[in-house]
Amino acid sequence: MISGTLVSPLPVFVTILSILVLLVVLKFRRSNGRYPIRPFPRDMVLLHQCGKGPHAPSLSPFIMKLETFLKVAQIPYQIVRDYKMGPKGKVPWMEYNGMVLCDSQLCMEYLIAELNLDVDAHLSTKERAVSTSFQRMADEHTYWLMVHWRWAIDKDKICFKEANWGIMALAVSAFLQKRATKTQGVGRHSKTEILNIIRRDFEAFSNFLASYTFCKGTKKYFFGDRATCVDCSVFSQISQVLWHLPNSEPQNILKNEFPNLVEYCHRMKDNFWPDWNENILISTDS
Amino acid sequence: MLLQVLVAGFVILVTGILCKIGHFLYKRSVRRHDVPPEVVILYQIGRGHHAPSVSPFPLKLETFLRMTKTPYVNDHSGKFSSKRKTPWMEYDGKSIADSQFCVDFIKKKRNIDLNDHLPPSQKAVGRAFQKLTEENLYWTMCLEMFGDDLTTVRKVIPYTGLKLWLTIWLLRRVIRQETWGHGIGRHTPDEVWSIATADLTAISDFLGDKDFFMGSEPSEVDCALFGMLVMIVFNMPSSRHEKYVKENLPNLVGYCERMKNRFWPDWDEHVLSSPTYQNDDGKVYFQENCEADVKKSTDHKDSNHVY
Repeated sequence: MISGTLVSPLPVFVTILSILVLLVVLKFRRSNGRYPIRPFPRDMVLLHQCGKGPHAPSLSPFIMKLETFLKVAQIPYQIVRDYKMGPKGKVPWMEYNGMVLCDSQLCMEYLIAELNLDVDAHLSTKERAVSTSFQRMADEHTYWLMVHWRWAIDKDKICFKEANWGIMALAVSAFLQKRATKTQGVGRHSKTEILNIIRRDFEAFSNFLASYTFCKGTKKYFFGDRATCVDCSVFSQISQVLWHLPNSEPQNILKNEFPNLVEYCHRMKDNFWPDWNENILISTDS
Repeated sequence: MLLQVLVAGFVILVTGILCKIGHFLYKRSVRRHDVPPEVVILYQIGRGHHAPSVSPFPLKLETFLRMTKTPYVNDHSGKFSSKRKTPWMEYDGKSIADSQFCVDFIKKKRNIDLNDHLPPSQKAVGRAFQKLTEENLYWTMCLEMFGDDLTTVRKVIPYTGLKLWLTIWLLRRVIRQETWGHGIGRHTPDEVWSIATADLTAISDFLGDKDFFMGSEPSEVDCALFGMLVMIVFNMPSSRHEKYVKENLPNLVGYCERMKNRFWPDWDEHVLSSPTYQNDDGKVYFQENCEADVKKSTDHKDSNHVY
């Protein structure tokens, strides 16, 4: 009996200790300050990101957001697929003339100020306010709904398997992302509740896109016939549902109830991503 | 002998702690049974020193109930919902968690739509600003309150001694974890501050000189905005958020006063530091609407009277 009580907890203890050691190593690796110091090309953004997505250029909406912005603003850039997390433990991150920057939104704001870009310059004060609100909704709300769906509700994870994610990577990511969505809040909702919230976010994007309240003339994008910063956010978040949640309920809601958002995504893709097929793993006509 | 005394003492201590925890859990599990039908039981934490709540979400929900003249009663015992969140509510025995789900439930149950006067694009803008406030600005406020300087939060949380210390310690841990997972907790304080000012400026720029956020009449987004801005104007004394709003965005201060006067004329009765404070636990508001035809749409636009 004594030997039984000494032996049986040992495998559990070893497993827990291994996981703790792994988490510590990952944390240390993330916060290690040694980033590539190299001769950098002048006035060119080095965009650090992970691998290509199977049906859209990335499985990360924030990588797509930043890269779409670089294309909209016509900023020269070079992709660096080194699979390294940035100084804040996230991707994407970028280097520009020796400066290291993280977070897609902060990167965009830095480039707008540094290069005196006029992407949003034509917007009125009120329009900029509305632009900020939709950007926040897309990146801080719709994003988490998509993350919860893809990691907690979608059991198949087809697109991750198509992108050659291994079992360990899927398991660790699922654990971390489910924990993140639970602490954020959306992870506590049921599947039906999530679908209703997603529908309402899409409805808001769709109704604003279809309205002419803040626009005279054609309405190709959120604020008229010129793409602005908010288009980069909204397009990148919706594109994950359109291209990377195949045959899912959110995708069905998007395609069946909000066709103008689908058209909008295709418009952004056709106008700003002529190299789309070169940046995806599985080329299709959709 | 000494060992036996130590073991006995340890057993008594553990038993005492377990009894305390058990009593605490029992009190939190007791449901109210003395509420008339079709009256909302609003479970929220207690009142604050400077505003009817120290959290924006209970204030949002209670303002919505007042705006729609929905009969309700407060329960300040601090019970948490099944999703381990607060506020939450019960309606005829059904529990609903999450402030926005509560709002949606009441809208459906009582056939009320505070946005029915708005075109679809304006409803979309309202939703976007609500998400900006609750999913982004809110976290900058948490980081400001529970950052390195805890002076402000100590003035606001209505506890003292060990209870205050434990509450702050627990909330700080939770907020650090939540903001790290969210992403905003990974930014420098200056970056977080730039996000906060961008959000506050956007809210102010859109509000402009309008009486309410979407126009001359209040709508659903006003409940969320008012709940959050009250935290800044009343519950974050000497913070950067408060100074920025009061010095640079006076229209937001004016907006809070208008909402307060319209829907909280009894504000002082719900503020702990006020000499006219009254504990309203169990008091039914809008009782005259209990027997009204709840299928009929309630006109929220009329009068300055709350009840």
